[in-house]
Amino acid sequence: MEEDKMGTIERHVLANRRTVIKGLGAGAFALAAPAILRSAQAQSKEVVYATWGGSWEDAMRKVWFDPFAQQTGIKVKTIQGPDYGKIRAMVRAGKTEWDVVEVNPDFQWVGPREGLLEKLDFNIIKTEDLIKGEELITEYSVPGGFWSRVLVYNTKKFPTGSHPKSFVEFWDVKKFPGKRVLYAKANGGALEAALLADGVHRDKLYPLDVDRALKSLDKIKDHVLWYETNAQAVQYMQDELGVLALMSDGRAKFAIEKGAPIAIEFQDSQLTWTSLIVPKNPPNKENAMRLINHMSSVEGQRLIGNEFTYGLVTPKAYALLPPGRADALTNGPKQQGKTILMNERWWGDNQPSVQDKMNAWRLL
Amino acid sequence: MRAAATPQRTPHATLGHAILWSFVGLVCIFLVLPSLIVIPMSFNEDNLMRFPPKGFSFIWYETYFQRENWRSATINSFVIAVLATLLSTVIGTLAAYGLVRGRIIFRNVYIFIMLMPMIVPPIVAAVSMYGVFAPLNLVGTIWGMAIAHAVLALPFVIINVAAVLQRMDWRAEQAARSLGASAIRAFMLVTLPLIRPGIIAGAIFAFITSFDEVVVALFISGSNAVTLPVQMWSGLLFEINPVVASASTLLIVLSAVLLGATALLRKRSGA
Amino acid sequence: MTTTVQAVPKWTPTALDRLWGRDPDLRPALRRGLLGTPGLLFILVFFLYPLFLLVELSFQAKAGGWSSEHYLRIFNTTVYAQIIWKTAWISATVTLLNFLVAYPFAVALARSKGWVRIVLLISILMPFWTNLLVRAYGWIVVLHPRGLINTMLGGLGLIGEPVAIVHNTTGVLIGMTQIMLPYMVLPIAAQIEKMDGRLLQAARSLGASPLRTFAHVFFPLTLPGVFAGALMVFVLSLGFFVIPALLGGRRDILIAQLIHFNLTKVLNWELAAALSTILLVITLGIFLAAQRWFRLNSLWSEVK
Repeated sequence: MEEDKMGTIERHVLANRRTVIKGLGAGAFALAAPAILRSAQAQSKEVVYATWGGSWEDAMRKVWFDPFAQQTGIKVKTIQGPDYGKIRAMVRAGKTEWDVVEVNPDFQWVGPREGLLEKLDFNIIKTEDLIKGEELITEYSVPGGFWSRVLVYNTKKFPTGSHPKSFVEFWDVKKFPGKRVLYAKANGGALEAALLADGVHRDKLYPLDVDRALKSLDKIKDHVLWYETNAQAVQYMQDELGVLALMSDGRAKFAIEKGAPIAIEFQDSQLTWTSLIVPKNPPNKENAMRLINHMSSVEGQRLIGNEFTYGLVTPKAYALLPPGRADALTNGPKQQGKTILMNERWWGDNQPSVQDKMNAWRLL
Repeated sequence: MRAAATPQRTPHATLGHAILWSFVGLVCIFLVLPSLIVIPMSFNEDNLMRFPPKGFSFIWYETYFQRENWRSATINSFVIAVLATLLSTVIGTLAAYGLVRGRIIFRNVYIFIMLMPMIVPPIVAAVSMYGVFAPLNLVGTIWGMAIAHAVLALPFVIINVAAVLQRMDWRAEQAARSLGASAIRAFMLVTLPLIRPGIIAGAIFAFITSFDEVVVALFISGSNAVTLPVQMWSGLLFEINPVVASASTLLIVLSAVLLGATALLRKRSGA
Repeated sequence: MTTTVQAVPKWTPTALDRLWGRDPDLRPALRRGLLGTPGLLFILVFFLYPLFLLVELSFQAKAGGWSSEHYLRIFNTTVYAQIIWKTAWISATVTLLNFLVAYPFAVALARSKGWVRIVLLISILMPFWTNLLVRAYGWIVVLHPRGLINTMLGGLGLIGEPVAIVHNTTGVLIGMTQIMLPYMVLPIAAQIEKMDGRLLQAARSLGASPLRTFAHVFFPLTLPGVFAGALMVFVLSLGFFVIPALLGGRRDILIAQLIHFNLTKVLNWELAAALSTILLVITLGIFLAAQRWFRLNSLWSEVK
């Protein structure tokens, strides 16, 4: 249930400060539009996009889906709740209903293993402006947006400055008393945080030493509120049931905007992303590829960067944002060097066995 | 404690009475509190669900009525619930009649099979039904949902109708038959009116079962037959905002109206 | 309440010859029995066949072919046994709590009239009719450390520190007990309503104390309802998923959550199918075993 992501890959922001591209990007977009329009007529007029929903969906509708429909005549239909189980059931039954799905990156390895994903058509989806990385772009997926899990603290209890600044301090229940809010899911970041708290260097987290992580979690287990959905985490912090949390940055920013007495410490935030995938035999395959291309274009990214706080997947687009905006996004310039990239491939391979271990630990 | 049986009360009995009724009062609160507490939150001004609510506004009701997906989910829910109710009530009444009035070989096995949808954990039912509904093109259709919910509702109809049938005085039907009415005529004109309260109760249970069901619906509703609980589920999982509370409040009001209607019907029919 | 005239002869299957033999009532009765056919077909096609496929899936190896590997994995991994045990323990506790809360309530319901009765009925049926997730959220609001109960108790000066009644097993028990209460109350109330008041009067007039009358006459007469209710509550609790996830704490992992995880997160459907089959077998086994204690027919009784 990782609906949140956001972000800014700052390295790339710094590398790509040529604002000229702004004009170029928009121009190319305008030139390409008639061509897209023409080829669309032969095809179906719909594409089904499964999303985590909420205000993220509203933003996508505004800057991506509605303009896409205007330019191409293809209406984007959204479905909330991109459940993997449903993808498997649909594909196995030969009745795929979804064209594009935003998923957690572990699924880009789990999905192909189960034969559930369509290879992306990289003739339609242009990757030259996309952020590089072997984990980020696979045969079956491209990144949709970055987000991170961040350390969040209650500002009434711990005023900024005297707040916990690392997971070592997050684990210090004497100095910072109160409930910690953590994700109950094995790949929800708690194990990584536990290892950091236990002194593991941030570059040496993977492969995770699960037993060591659980032993570290033992030390605070009576001080933890576990959440099953991100919405719950907000509720805990909002209601001040928890004083510290490891939660999605988007949720945290949203709660802060709504006046929750919390603030974010970006040090050692866990950076991850959503992947865009196409389930096997989708009803509107070509439209799916075109929609993905539309979303991950530099212009598409610039637009979403103004609208939502997910980190952009085309580094060039950062330079096109209004001044100061980049910092509002995940992994923005000021978060540079503070984030740790989650090893989602490791999770794709190990989640079942780690979850078993974590469940056993939880029951003890 | 047994007011009906013992008209004169000893001081002990009065004390027992007081204890019993205060306990019952507490249980009533226990039962309705978590549902009712949602109502004030639906009038929240803020867009986070919180208690006590901040301010007072109808903004979430407006949102509810304005949003296409909430509206269509509401309509779908009603249509599906009505279809599921019709299906399960007809099939279930026949089955109950056969069960009580007829002889069925391996009766206990039959009863057991017919009650299974009530017993099997919803998640198991959901997963297994999906595998069969999908190839039949039933996933994501109103009819698919109606059938799935009719399956789940069937036991409730059978139980309610069989209960009335078992208490019924069969001499009326026998009299009608002996006066020359055909079996079907006797059933339609004599039995049916007599067992109507049971059928109505069964139908209401069926309606509610369908209207409130989420686990099976999550799988079978696909993208074209999203129901209200499914819409709420995504609402609560992905974004806790008070639209869910206002939708729930409307449902509570609807339930209360339905329940009041049942109570009145039962009272009038004297069953 | 009408006193029922037992006009229907109870069918007792004796010799096979009776089936097709001399009994003149039998053939029409068998014909009437056929009215159950549409229902049977409906359940067979849309419910039993799917279940059969699920069980079949649980015996399929990930790599293809038949195998019992998923069952072996379940039986060889301690954590699965622990979760199954935990599920049974929670279900049993919920059943017991339900009995304690439901019994007095059922007595009151059976004895109530008019508007009191309508109020009681509305209360008992309300949980059926509010979305489960919303109720779960409602419970959190009521139970959490700064929620309704803790604020009230604190305000009355009864407690210094907030009591921890949610996000732990207590929260799960409270939430599940509330949800299951109707299933326990209704059958018990039905038994009480069916009861012949003269029996109680007879006991009293023979000099039995109220307590003795209750213990030896009243309570035994309600037992079928208690069993029916307990069975429903226990069996339904086994499959619970949303409440433990939202109201529970670290230790509250039940088997349905495990199934859901394998189904939707790691896509090990074969394992999920095996877990489901185990849950199914336990559920059905309990149900069949319970037949020794009471007839399924007692589910027929209802509150009017």
